[in-house]
Amino acid sequence: MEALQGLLGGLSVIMTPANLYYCFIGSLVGTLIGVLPGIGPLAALSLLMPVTFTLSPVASIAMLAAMFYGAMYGGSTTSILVNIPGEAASVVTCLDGHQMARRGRAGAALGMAAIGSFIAGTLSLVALTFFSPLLAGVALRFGPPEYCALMLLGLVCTVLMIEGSAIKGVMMIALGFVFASIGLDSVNGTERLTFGSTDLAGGIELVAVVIGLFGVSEVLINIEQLARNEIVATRIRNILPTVEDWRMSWKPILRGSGLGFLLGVVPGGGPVTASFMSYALERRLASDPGRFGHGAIEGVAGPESANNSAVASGMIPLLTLGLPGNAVTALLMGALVIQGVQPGPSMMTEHADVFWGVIASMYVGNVMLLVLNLPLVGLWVQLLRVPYAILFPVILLLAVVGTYSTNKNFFDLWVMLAFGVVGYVLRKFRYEMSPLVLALVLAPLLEQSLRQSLVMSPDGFGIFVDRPLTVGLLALSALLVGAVAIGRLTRRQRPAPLAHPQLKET
Amino acid sequence: MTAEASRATAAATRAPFAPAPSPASRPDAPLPPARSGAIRIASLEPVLDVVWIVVGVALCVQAWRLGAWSANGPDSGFVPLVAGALIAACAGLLVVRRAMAPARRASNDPDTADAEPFWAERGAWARVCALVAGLVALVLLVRFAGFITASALMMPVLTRLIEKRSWWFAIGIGLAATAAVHVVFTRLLGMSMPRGPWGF
Amino acid sequence: MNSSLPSRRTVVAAGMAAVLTLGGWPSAEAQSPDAKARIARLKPKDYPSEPIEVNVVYPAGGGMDINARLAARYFEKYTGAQAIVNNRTGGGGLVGHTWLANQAAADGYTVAVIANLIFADSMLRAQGRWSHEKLEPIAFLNSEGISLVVSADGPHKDRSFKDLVELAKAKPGTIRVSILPGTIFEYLVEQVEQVSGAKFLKVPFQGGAPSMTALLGNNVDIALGFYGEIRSFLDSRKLVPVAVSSQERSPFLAQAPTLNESLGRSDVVWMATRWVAVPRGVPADRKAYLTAGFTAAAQDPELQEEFRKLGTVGNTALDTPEKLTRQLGELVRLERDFYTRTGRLK
Repeated sequence: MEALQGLLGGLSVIMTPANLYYCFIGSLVGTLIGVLPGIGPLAALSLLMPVTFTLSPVASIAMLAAMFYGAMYGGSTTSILVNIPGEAASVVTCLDGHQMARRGRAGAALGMAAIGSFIAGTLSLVALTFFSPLLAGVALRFGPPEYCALMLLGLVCTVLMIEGSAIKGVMMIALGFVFASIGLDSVNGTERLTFGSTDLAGGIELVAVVIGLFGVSEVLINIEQLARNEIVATRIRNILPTVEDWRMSWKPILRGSGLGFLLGVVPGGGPVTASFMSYALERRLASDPGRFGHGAIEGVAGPESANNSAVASGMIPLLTLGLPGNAVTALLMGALVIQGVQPGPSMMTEHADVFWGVIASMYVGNVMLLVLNLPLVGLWVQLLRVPYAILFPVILLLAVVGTYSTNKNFFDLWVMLAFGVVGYVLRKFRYEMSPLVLALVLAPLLEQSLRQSLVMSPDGFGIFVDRPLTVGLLALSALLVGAVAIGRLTRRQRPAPLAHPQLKET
Repeated sequence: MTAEASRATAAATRAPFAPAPSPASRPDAPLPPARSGAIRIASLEPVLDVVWIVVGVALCVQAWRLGAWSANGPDSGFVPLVAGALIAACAGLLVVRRAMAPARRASNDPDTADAEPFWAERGAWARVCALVAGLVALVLLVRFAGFITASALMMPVLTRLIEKRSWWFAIGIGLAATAAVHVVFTRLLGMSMPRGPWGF
Repeated sequence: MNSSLPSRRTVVAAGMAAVLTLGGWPSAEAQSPDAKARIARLKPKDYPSEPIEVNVVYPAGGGMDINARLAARYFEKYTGAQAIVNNRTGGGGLVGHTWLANQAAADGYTVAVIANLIFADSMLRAQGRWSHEKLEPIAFLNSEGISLVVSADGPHKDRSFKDLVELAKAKPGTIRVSILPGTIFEYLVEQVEQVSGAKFLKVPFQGGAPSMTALLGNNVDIALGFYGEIRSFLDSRKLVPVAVSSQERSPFLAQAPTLNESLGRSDVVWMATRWVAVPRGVPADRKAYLTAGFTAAAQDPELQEEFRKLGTVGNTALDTPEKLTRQLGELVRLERDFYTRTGRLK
């Protein structure tokens, strides 16, 4: 088959010592970036892009791409160990991954994250290899109405993710929308909620929000207590996942791969959305969702698979259409253009060696990352024994450096601090942070595509029912809402909980 | 295990983003004895709700000034308006819910927080405030004195704030962390960190 | 060196040809060893002692970014100093422009590669907080017009731009055009509407890439973009250019008429112009060094060839900051006129 031939050709291109070396460097640096909270793939790639000028196109992109998906491998590490996400795409891994760590199961969580990432990445690449042209066509079918419907589906998933008080969860989602609208209106360019500050006119940086809400607030919450030395006082069991873990995880991994793959192809989707939606999906499908939030391994396997899968499929619109779907692929595109390779429909014919070389490098990179990350699990687990006194100052410093490195903007540091305090206060009052973050991610595209659709539409909201893909996605949202509503109603049928015997007030 | 230590362990093991299982959700568990003088979450919540309502209304006002609807559909102010209204309305709902619940909170309602004290330990609020102040100082120093100076000065302070060990320990950790981060970010990754007026 | 580029001699020859046809005679400074020596003589003592930060207010990988990175690379070649590109993004460039105007240190370690889009920010969005005058141009890089394209599979594939304008006049609001709100893309379409009486349906997008996606998916009828963004689609015949917004026809899109030709006017010209600037107040010796370095880079035939491949046009005649400032002053005047006429500027 033609694709197979191409892939074999690509493998022959990548299997030179030089190319393999750069692929390895990329994987290594990528893992490091993922582990360090704050500094993300975008900042690191733009820093290291000049290094690639003297390299061949294949080596350059192999290295940069490896940094991208390598970061997805490493991002789960701090999420699991210290409840601080290394990336926005690893936020949901904190929910259950850290709980597993507290129960002495950090090794299983880390191992499953790495293995799930590998499986998902590889499956996604296989689909990419054989179905790129077909999927490219699908990506093109997505216009503003389809994006709007997709983001609406994401919003429904966000609502489903709310664990505790529904009212408080909805408030967090609304707050996320508010923060997302600070800055310039994407449709008409006017300043919104900026109060005359040009810093605010640039919008609120997601990295600063995530690090503040989860990182700084986590430290603040922890220092309330004097009596704690290490995160896990008990003995650490099982460095690697058990058979039982596998039994519970293999389906989430497959589902995460599929979901991530689909969300990565669509420009504007991506690893962050994929990870959140996978978490919501797994929780919905689990037979006993009460386990989620307390150390359910599916809550690690699914999202970590989804984010890696989305990275791989994100390369499809870039390589086949020349259309970057997110900031990192836009950077990769720039790197290719500087090398004299124009990504797009002609790339497969004009630069077949680069095209297939990059794809082959991703297969190789995934293997390298698995080999790199699995043994590291033992090392990371030992980090749990490091006393807070050493760990948290370092984390705070890394948070400051990482946040600053994103835009070289001091304002981001203030944002980080502000959200740290806000996150602390809200968490004390039992508000959940995840819906806020997901709303912050979804809101811009949801609002923009809604307004674009209405501008484009000759008959107002009618455009949403004229197009089959949109209708399909909207129906899916409706279905989800319906299923939840029915679930809630059937639960009401059960007898109300017994009232407490009145206890004496002490 | 003392009540305080058991509370600490319970706090340490609960899911970070889900609300704490309030004593009411474990119907048979006795309520923890109120620490004398401790502020309860339940008593502070109304303050937060008022804040929410004010924020929500302010948002609606700002949004209205931006314009909520235009010929082409929703305008700039549409999203802030809906969001602000939602926030204010939900806060109102919370207030209503709390008013309707009996004083001893017999329901499993996660909306009305529990009688747990806001700060479980003595002096917790002082530590939190101190750490926030320390972080503010760190950010200010990074901006005006450069990264290396700021980190070398503030990291020992922050370390000691996080856990009260000897000053030697704090200084050691602080300087080691500064050096390590500098090497990794500036040398390895090639990032330039802010410099102070004295060149580094 | 990159193996996919043609041999050095071919490049230099092609570059010379391009320069001669497009920009006038190459000045003596373009001769590489002479330039390096001259720059070395201009080098102030103890400077630069750290890398020079080349600021770009747009995201990495985009058109501006690529141009900036190329310029930085050739600057390094001529000066031996290190130049690192830094992306200060946000607010469609507003955040970066404000920082450059208000906060950037005039110490010779901060330069910026900016485009004429700064004028719109300065006149319309800065609201008195800063002005583009705070940045002093030192070297011209390149300029290009905006290309208007239609889908090769769409209903308009055989239409000329003139036809499309007629359609938009006959049936106002039915021809969908992609624009970037608050930028020259929007103003371009607005001016076309003004001078022709046509009415397009302007659909807002955040960048060239999303608008190309929309065009290919038949969600808009006409898309606007830079040559670099559409080249791959042109090569694979997925898009057809219908007009360009420059003064003369683009050498890369010879078959597409200019907007002036299609509309029978002489004042519908919209170009993106890029140059290197420093904050006002940089010490004279450092400024001279930076000017010499970037001018030499811009005059380099190899860089001219790279620019050519990106679809931009260099201009070796603009080889001093004075000439550049005069040229830019003219651009500012035209833009200010447009904003005043359309009521955006009081």
